Amino acid sequence: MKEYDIVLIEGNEYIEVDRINIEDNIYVYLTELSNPDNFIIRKYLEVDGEEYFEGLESNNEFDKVLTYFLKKHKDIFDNNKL
Amino acid sequence: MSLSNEEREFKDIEVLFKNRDQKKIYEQLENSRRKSVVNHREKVQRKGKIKINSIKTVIINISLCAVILVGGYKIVSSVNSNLDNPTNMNNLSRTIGTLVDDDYDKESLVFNSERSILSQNTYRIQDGCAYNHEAIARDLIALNDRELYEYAFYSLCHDMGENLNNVISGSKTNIDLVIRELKRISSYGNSDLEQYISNKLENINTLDEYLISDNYVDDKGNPDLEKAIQVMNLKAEGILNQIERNGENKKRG
Repeated sequence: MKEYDIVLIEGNEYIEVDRINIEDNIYVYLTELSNPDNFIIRKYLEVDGEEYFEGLESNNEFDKVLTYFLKKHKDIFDNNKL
Repeated sequence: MSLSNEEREFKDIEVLFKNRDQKKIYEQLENSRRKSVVNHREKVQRKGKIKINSIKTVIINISLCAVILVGGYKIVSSVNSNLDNPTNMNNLSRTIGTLVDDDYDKESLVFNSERSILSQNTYRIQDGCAYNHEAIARDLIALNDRELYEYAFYSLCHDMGENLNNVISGSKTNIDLVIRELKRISSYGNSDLEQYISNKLENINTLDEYLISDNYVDDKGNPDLEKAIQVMNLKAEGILNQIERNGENKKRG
């Protein structure tokens, strides 16, 4: 059994599912604790020792980052798809 | 081999569920995108940890959205709500496919297969599947009936599903390539349908232009495939009955 961080984003609790480093940015994939069907992606930043989650700039950035997730987890997905 | 009514109904139910699930994933994707693309930065607030046995389901869930994205979500957005009752379209698609299928026994009028035009012209390649656009166009032309051709064209759009607007060559999508082949082949043909298609497609190169020429547009005048498929779905039963009657007449006559 593995432990995952729970973080608060805009008042809702999310589970931090994964982090992927893409082109010098760290992207965090989060799924809502109360409804795992809902997921969001944030950029992770450290500024002056403080941690921040930042929204993505464009739909293109979202699409690109989401496809990286598929690439990373291709094996799990391929072995479990219907 | 023909499917029994029960098997056919079961297949229709499978398609219904598939389309419903796809719609759900598309909505999920849109929802996630909307909540992710925000002009907002906030401090990370950790609320503790949670022990989870396996997060595989969550990974698959997110991956499914990525698959929809890679597989061409644009078409999903335009057809996702028009497939609530695809039964008639699916039956029509198979019956029309049978009319041009090489396995169709024209003497006995027995339908030896139940494959749509699209499935007859889909080939497995190394990375997945590919359509033979020229063969699809030839099969549509082989119907040799204007009305049937129109139904078959939109039925084909319905069958292509999420692959309809996948860009295959240059800026051409799957359906654009079929339109290009329809134009090319009909331009040197002499049959009534070939002349009809040749005239109709004279200034048409894309599905959007095709839809506009058939007046399948929304309130703002934008091409509306959903509307076309809804109309075809409503009319499909009548066309199926007509094909059946034609078959009966041929048998008698």
